[in-house]
Amino acid sequence: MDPSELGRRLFRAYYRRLRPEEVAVSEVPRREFAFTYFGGGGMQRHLAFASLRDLLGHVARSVPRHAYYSSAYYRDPSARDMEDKGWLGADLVFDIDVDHVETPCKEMHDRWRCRSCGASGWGAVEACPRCGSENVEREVWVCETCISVARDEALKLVDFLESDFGLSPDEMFVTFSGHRGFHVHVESEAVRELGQDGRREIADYVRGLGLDLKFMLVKARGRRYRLRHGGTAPGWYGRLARWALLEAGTDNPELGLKAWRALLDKCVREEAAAIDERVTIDVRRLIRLPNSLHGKTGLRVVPLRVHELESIDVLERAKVFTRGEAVVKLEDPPRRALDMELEPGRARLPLYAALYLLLNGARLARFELA
Amino acid sequence: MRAGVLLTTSDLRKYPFLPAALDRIRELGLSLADLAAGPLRGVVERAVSYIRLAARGEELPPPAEDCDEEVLAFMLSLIILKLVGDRVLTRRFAVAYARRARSFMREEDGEKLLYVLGALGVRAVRLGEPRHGYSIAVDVFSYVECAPERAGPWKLVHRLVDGGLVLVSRYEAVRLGEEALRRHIERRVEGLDVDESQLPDELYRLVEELSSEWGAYLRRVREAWSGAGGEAREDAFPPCIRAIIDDLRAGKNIPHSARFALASFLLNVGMSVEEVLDVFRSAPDFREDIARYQVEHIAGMRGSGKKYLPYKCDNMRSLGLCRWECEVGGRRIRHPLQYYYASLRGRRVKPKS
Repeated sequence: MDPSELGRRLFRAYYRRLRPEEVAVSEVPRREFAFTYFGGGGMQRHLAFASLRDLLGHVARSVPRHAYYSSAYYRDPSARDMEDKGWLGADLVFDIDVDHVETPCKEMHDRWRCRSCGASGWGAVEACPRCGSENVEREVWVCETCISVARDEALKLVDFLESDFGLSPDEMFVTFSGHRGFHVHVESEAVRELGQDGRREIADYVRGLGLDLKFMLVKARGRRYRLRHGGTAPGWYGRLARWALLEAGTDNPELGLKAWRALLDKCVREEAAAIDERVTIDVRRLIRLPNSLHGKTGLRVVPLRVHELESIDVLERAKVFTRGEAVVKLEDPPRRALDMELEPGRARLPLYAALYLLLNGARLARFELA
Repeated sequence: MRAGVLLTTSDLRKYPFLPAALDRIRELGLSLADLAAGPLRGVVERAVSYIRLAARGEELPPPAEDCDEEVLAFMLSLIILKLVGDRVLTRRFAVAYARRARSFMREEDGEKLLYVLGALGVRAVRLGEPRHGYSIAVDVFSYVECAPERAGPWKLVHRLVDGGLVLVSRYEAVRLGEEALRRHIERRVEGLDVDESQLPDELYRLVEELSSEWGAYLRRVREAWSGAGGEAREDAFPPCIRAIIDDLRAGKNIPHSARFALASFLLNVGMSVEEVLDVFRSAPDFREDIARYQVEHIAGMRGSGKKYLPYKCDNMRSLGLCRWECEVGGRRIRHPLQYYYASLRGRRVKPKS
């Protein structure tokens, strides 16, 4: 089975049923849109549409494999040169992706192969454990655990945005990326004109990057120190104070530098949100279109209100092709994917699962729609 | 206007960027031709002297006694800067003007200070009860835009941030105001639309004169810099750039951001596209056609024709590429190129103590 052919056929059916208002993008005429297609050919960029209806018309006709829009607003979004687009502002966007987060499940589905020495194995590695080369090929899959880890990170981020940055849930929405993460969009006048430097400060803040005890502690008795601002203080002081309470029994203990350092490390590890800072800093980023389909998974980019993040079964909502089945013969599959445990051999799978295996390049000796 | 704030003509003299100052001048209905001659000649002289002083990095004199003269001089300065059209010069003027305004803001009572901040887009409130020793709270998004530094005590992670507000001292509020004014002036100049055909000869001549003075100054600076090296000297590269080169030579697959940082740095210290490509040749996934396209793009030979600068230190840090907190003469290095030029000049650059 040609993955492009089936993908295009199913995606077309989905986009024909989609209603314009389900593509939750504001101020369409000010945005840039970009698509890639089945069968390759690179990204088609600098597209502009007058309305959601026009946008969806184009999508239903051209059936993209991946669909993106700009977090930025432009005077002329279709200008080919970035300088000529006339940047008017941008939403503040955060990307959470478990690619860079340790999860217990990667041993079950991710694999690597070293291009230098040929070694291979399960799990995610930065460099080849045998020869140290970073020239490593990776095979990446998503399962329920990945999504749940990403959701926890997104919830931490939302806590920063609400309690520290004072944003209301109405000013934000979340999307499941369709793969291993979430995007958090802030659409508010207050953030629109932020430049790169300001956005970087916000990204550093939620990552707890650059926290330096030198600025947070004052000298107490002997060689001991306590927090400059005590237990009721907001921001990272308050977070650190809570960890002090947990670990040392009081929210502003007098401790040596080494103990404070250990406490801060722990606090940052637990409290910081694992975002991909590049997405937040970039004021001209392209980001997945809500309710479009992810071309490597066939899952829907599900838009969510912030309060839904905690309660909703994201994967269930992201499955699109739940009717129909396919018979496949798996060769050396990931041991786990989505909500399934997989083994080599013949299997009858729901269509969404079979499509995922096909689109993400699983080795299939047989694929037949049932 | 905020209730309870009364602006006098003396305020407009100190803060000619306030909307009320603009309104006042609009009522006078003056044209540029009116400024060039007669009793308003002082306005032109003042504007030109502000720009000259700022260009040399010197302090500005006190504002004109007459409020209208100061407001007009301020506005004319912006027009001249627009016509000269050099961002660095505009920035120098903005820095000097904002520094002078800071000394006035420092003397204001709380209400007026907050009013001035508000006019510059910095939303700030006075707290009824001081919190953790602070009496002013500034909107966090204004704060991250206008903080004069994004390191040390100014870095947002080290601040008390709560419900969208950052607690600041009076002194810090004034510093935020200074920075906001600098940005305000730069933006205003950029957004100005001046019809050159309406420009009186007298003013046109002055713009020419200032442009050529500034051009000569820039040439002198550039010569002084290039005299230091000629060709790129690797021993003077900052640790972050050396680390990327080491990784490349070790055959590591380095991230895109590191490639950009390295290529833009090397191009900016005078290497040619060919020389830069040679450095990248040891990358495990090196493909000459792709690499050449990207390096030429960064060099400004493709696309928008803009030559890219390397990331500054703050960005390197956020991207995880910073290796050291460098200092020269007790001051923090802010840009990898600054490190390079300082060490070329024989200055000792060391890690922050």
